[in-house]
Amino acid sequence: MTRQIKTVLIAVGSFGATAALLVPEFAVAQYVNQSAISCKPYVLSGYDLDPEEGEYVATTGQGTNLLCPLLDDDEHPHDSVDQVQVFFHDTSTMFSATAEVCVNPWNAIGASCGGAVASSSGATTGYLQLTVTDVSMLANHPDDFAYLHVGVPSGNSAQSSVSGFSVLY
Amino acid sequence: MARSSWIGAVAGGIVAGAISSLVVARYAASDKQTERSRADLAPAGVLKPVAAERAKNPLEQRVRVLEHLASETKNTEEAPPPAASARPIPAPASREVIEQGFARKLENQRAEPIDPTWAPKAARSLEQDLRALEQAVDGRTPVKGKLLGVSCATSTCRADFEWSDFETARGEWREFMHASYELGCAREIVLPEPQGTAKGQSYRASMLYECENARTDQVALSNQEN
Repeated sequence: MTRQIKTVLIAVGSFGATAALLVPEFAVAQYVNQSAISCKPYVLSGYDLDPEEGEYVATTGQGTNLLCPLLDDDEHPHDSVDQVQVFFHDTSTMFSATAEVCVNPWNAIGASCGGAVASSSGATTGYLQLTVTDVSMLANHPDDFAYLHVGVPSGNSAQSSVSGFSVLY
Repeated sequence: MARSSWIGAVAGGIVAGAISSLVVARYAASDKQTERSRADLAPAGVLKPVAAERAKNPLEQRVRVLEHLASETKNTEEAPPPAASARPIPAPASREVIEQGFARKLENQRAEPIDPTWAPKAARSLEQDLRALEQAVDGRTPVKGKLLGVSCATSTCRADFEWSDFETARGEWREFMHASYELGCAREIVLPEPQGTAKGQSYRASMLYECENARTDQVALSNQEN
């Protein structure tokens, strides 16, 4: 590589680094973190909201379902989501936690869900992460309202809970 | 490369980046200031004259308000179009289009050939998961909707439900959508709104299951078992 080309490359690199450092708007959003406190259980019983932890916990035998809104604006369009990571505390040795992305149409009653990914049933307990990589439902329905569905298993002696989720772009 | 060239290139890049950042930041701030100014002006332009006119003749007040609104409309019409957004505003499909599209999907499902090695197992699995909702387990209230049947074909299934009326269906369809399924199928349901006298009558709707991925997983599992 000639000396001139190296000089130009170094100058361009320095330019880009300085501009990105001084103008934060240049940076592209990589993730959005949301607390599970934004989620809503869609059944009327079988859950409690822990006010100290900001977590939803399942109290019935088979667990409960949480519906969490997925952010969708012109900076974070839901059809650009790459994956969703759900952070939960699994105390169940019998049931799996599940997560999937869904959409509601604007002008009709109904929904579409992309198929759930499940934790290994019973094998692992503790603070776990479930990653939803099949997000084609979001890409295929850019004009609908997007949400996350989390199936929270109840524990045998303690309660399972969801603390939040990260949306990666 | 000589050391002076390195230093010169880095310094030049930093200076150029800093200058362009300042220009961009100032331009952005100017845009935001303009937006704020418009927002500040809007209430003053509309609300203050109206408030000032309250004590006067009500008829004269109404005329002034109408004149003001007319001038606002004119200004809006003459205003240049807003800058193009980076992303178009969503254009939702109408209810009729959504309902008709889902009806076509259900018709296509009916026409799909049946795979005898997969369909019966998949139908049994789905039916078992849906029937579980009819039982009062661990304090759960049984669903009011009745499962009429489940049928599967090559990689899709459908489940048919019946409720006492549309409003009951409207309040309960999510139970079936978010049931705990053993098969990880994608699912879709649309509840067409009944028209006229059909509103108070028994109501039927179907859920469509697209199980291409789940089918692949199950085939892999079956192969492992064998």
